[in-house]
Amino acid sequence: MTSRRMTDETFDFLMTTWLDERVSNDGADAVADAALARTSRIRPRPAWLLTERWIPMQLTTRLQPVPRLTPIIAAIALLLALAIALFAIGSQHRLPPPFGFARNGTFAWVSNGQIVTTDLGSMTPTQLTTGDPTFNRPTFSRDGTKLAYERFSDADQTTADIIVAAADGSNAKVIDHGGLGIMTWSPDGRSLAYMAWAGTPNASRLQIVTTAADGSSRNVITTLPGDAWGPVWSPDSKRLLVGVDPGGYTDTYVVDVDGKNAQKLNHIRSLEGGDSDGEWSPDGSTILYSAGDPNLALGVYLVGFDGATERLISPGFRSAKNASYSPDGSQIAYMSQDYTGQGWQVVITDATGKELKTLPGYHGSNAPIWSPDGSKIAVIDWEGSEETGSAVVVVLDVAGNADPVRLPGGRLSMGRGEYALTWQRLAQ
Amino acid sequence: MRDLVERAMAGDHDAFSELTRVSVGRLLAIARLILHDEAAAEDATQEALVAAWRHIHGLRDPDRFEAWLHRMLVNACYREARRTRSRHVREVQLPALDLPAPDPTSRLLDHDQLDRGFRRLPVDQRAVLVLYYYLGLRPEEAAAVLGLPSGTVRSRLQRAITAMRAALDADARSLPIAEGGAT
Repeated sequence: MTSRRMTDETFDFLMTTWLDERVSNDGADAVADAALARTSRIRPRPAWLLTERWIPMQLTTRLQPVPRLTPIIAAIALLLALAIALFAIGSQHRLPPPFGFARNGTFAWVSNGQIVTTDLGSMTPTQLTTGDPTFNRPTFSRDGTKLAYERFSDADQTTADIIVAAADGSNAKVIDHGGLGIMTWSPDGRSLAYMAWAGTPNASRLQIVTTAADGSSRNVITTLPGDAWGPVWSPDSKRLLVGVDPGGYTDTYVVDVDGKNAQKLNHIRSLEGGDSDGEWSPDGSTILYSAGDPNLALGVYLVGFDGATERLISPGFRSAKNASYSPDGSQIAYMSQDYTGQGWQVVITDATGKELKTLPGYHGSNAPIWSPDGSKIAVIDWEGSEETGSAVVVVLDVAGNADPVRLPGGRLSMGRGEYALTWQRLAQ
Repeated sequence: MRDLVERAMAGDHDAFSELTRVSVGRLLAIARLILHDEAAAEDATQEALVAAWRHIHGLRDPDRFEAWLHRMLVNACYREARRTRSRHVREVQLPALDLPAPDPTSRLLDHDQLDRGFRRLPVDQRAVLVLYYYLGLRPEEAAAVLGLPSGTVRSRLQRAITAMRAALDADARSLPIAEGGAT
């Protein structure tokens, strides 16, 4: 008795030929008929109800471990920290205003399921969180002093703990459980808004939750006529901009924080599946959002509170989305895709939507995030495809005077990065 | 293809039907390879297509439709495998084989041994072998289809290959080898 040993090449050949010879697609038409008979009776679910939309980023790149410090270096660092602390105590503590230009602080994004920060100066990533890699959606408060983020707590990663920490990640505190999706700070820094499933198990709806930043109070807005999502605070922190799905399409609403005075702003029915990505102009007079047009290409719209019909400001593009005001509100940036379908570019317009320039290069389709000083725009780009490649944070120079910067350690293997990038504002 | 996918993403059921017709043969073949059960393979393929339509808005990159659809299918195969586990257990009890004169270098015998080894594998290892050897995906690509870290896919693939080779070796040891046969 003996055993055969075969080479890897022989084994690979055997496996390939064996599988090829086994393949049969007889009866495929009948399977297709049965499946299509079922799909013809149902309609696709709205994109924002799909877990794919909310899955957190995952990473392929390990962060560089912090080098082990010798006691001497540690002592020096301690002295330095002490000196910095004394300097900070001795200095007047200034905070940036919630709107207008500010000094650029650090980026925060998600890497390996952990919250990571870096800045354009040092380019050294710092990991703020530890433990199970289920962290997502970091967002700095507008005064730059606090960082909120989510930590998924269930196996399906569909609901999350809401955590508030200092900007450096210290003093993290869970202020709520069961949150979901996009989370935004009130401009006054006192509250957060996000979504949560609320109601009875048989009649659960996606509703907007507002919570005090210290977790001391929690309110659910129950007055909206459908599932609600993507809350964005008004500049005066008194109202919220939300997307509402009354049944198969998305309307854009503003509502008081206490749930009163809900007002639908859009006149054109936006098809389901569109991203809302709403934003207030810094003066609170105008709403910027993206929605699916009747051809289901996404378009960027401006609408005011005077009852006038919303205005498409991206008519020349096959698709446009993720629009964002510059810090001072004088310009708008959004991601656009032309009819060649080559990729996404950052378009910059004035506040009325008049196109000013297109930043060179094609990038990932997500998140034009303005730097607080208005000179840079960060996007999330892919190396490879969205699903199989890895993502990097790319910082573009608005004036075109500097080459794009790709953040080290920012390689991410992820599908959804649009809400996972935030830029800290510091006093000038 | 991309145009069809984009139309389907816009809710055009006719476009989705065309995509289904184009894809169903390959999907069914893959399901048959993974599940080794005709009825379960048809059910899994049908469920994958229905799930694809339900979740079409979850697809963000039209160019990744095929990989995304494969992921739907593999997940449907996992569900079918769980549902029909007892049936599979019975099915692996194969009757004694009426083997031809033993010639361990023959492809026929190799394929038969592969078949038996493959049936003994858990469904997740079968899936990774099918993606790797039949679809020709690299581990990183298979990881995207399976929704797993590439390291997990590599280790799962290695375990599956080891198990398959062990099955071949064990079968070879159990057969009388003619004098001067392969070693």
